[in-house]
Amino acid sequence: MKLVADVAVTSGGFALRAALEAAAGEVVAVAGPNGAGKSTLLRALAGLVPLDAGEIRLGERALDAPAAGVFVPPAARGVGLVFQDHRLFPHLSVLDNVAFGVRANGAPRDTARRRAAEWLERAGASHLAAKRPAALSGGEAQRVALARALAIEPALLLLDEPLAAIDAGSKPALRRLLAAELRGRSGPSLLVTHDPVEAAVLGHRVTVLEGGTVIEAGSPAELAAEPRSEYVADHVGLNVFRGAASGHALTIGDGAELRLASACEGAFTAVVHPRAVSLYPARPDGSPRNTWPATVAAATPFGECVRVRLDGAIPIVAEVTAPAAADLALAPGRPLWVSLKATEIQVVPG
Amino acid sequence: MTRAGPRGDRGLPPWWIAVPAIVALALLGLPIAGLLARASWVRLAADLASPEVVAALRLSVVCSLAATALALALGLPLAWILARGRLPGLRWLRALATLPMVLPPVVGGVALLFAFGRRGLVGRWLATSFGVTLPFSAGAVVLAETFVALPFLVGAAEAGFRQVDRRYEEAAATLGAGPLRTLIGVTLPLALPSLGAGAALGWARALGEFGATITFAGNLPGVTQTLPLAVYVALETRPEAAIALSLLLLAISVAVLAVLRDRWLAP
Amino acid sequence: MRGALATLLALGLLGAAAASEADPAAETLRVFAAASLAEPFQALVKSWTGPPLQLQLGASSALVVQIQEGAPADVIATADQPTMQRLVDAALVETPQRFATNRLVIAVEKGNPKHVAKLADLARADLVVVLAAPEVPAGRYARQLLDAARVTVAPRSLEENVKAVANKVALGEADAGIVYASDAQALADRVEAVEVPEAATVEVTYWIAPLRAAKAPAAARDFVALLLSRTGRDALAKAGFGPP
Repeated sequence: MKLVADVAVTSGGFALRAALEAAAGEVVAVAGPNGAGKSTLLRALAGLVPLDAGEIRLGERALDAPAAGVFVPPAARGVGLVFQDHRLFPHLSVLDNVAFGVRANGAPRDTARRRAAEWLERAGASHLAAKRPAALSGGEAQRVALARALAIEPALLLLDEPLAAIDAGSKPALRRLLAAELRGRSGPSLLVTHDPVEAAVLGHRVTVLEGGTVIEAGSPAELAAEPRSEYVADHVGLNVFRGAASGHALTIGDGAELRLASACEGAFTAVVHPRAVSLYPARPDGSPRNTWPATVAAATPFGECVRVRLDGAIPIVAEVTAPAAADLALAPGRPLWVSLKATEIQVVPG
Repeated sequence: MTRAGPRGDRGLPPWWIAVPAIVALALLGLPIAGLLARASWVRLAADLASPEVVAALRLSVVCSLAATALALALGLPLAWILARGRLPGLRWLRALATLPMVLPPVVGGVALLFAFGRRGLVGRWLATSFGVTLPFSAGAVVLAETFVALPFLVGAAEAGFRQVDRRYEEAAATLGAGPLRTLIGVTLPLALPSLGAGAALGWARALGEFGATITFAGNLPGVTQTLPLAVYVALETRPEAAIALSLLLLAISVAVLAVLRDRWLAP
Repeated sequence: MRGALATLLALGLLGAAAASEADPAAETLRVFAAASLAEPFQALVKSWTGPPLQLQLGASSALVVQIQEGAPADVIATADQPTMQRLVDAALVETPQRFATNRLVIAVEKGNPKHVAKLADLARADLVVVLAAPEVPAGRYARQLLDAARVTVAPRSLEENVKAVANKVALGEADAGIVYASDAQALADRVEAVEVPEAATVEVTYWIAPLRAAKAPAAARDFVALLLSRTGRDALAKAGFGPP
């Protein structure tokens, strides 16, 4: 079931006008600075805010079409929403929280509780079933919130910065859970996030909202290579590599290795800002541990800099100043050496 | 400001808070102490065992509970509208709901007569169409008690509904819960402490209601003579019996309110 | 904060002090009287030339209890002898004097729509009958009357004082009630009295006495004198009371 949305909402002096699509099974990450309208977008898709104009269509069904006078209330949309502040019902146990939606959709209490138990198991939260939300940590609560939203098997799943309020130590496990559940869904999913790692790891595509409009959309690599705003350049258009770490080496892709500053073990994701990537016409001497030959695939000016997409053992995007670009005589096919300090590689577990 | 704030150095309140508070306690406690001191404990059992007392007690308990239930059934929806409604002029509705609290009870009773009595606005229609007359019946007692209990219930319930976080209701909607299920499954449970407090207050007020009851429902042992009426009548000739009955009322009220406060109403 | 509290407390205490009169004696004459005496006593107040008169009306029995509990009164007028006797037994009053009589009647709505003619009619199932509670004089007298006529009545309410009975009839809530003739007369525009022969067998007597503990004993005695004088008798007769 495909989501096609053309959202026009004015709420509290803020105007949102955005169009996006998400195919069945696709995970679209929605990024953008604070106040860009990401939450408003999700609320409109969920039906908590009616559209002023435009249309929201899920499969064959119009959920909100002001011109035609169609508005499906939130409860009837089949749209699940995981909030940043989990919003677990304080007066119900964890199990009953997860069962709530299942019951609301007509299942008798025992059936609902059984299904809830299954989903809690999948979310790795079975041991919390009898507890009250007040007794849970942030990470535990968000696990339960995810199970609760998934339990109703929503056609469209929306997640509003689900990991933003989670402490760094708990994030990796939750991110793994999210990744597993999102990839397994048959319907589309939208994930609002600030975190470029999240966007790159969890999303198939990234849509960037700024000031109430979509300014750019594409794969993380595309955004890194051709950012259209400062925000994208600094927060979204980054190099993201997923791999397995062993000691000081992170193995990614087809076996290429990145040398890390500190020793790690296990699944890790490396984030490298394009500005941290240096380019040399010939193999450089010096301290950087990560150096390899590459060829220029594309060079795109951005402000007073140039973003260079490079092919090679590790495809990567670099950002250099315009004069430097001129000096290097950048052109597609030009061979160069890429150099990257291990200390510039930010590693995130998971 | 270098002085210690209201908590003081040792957690004791400062004198200018403690003294008025002690006076308040005295004002509340001395009349009760007076009752206890004048009670003839020896005759208490005899005074309380008579069939009239049992009848009055039963009537009081049944009618006050019925009035509380009726106040809940009617007051909760009104409180909901006051808390969440977006109609103009809601504050007039709210004032109306508070009216029985400021009306002297006897005036309330007379007003009830003019509305529901045999010649009343609605009462005359009830009499001619259904042959139902309310005055002098236990139903009239319940109606009078509901009348005085409603403001307490509506006030507390409105506050309770207001403080329920709408975000939970939004979450319930996204999970597929329609308005009724959200109300029953989320809003009411979260408002329950306030609702419970309002119901307890309303019940206590209904139990102690006198002026509107005697004016509208009359006074007939076994039918409309509730405990407060029995106290008043006993006062004519046997103050000791009146004291015994008053202590009975007091004991019931204190027991129920003390138990309720702890178990259901403590936040 | 402190200042606000102190001000509130001061105002409260001042108010309470002003409301209670620290020295009542000097200024007012307090007369406690049975409810049925409302009309004649209110008329008498107009002829009263002594210190300001404060009239407190209620069921005789209720007033007596209040006096026994220490309520400040200078004169007490009751609607029957037994109630006054309680004060005599407690040595709270000077010698009581009989100052009026009354007669029991059946009060019905003006026009007598339910055609009540005799005491036996009060036993009819289709009538809503209201009596005074047996604890108050009017209730005791009514019971006497009904016993004399050997009629059993199932009243729908036992009102706390006789005026309440009359009012229920006047409002149309009750079809009939047993009240004093003076009460029926007071509500003559909405109520009419049905005379019953058995009323002659019930002696309704009114008694007045100054309190021993009166704060205004001279004024108290003056009031009693006024009540027993021609002026007093005229006022009572006008209100429908009989001679002592």
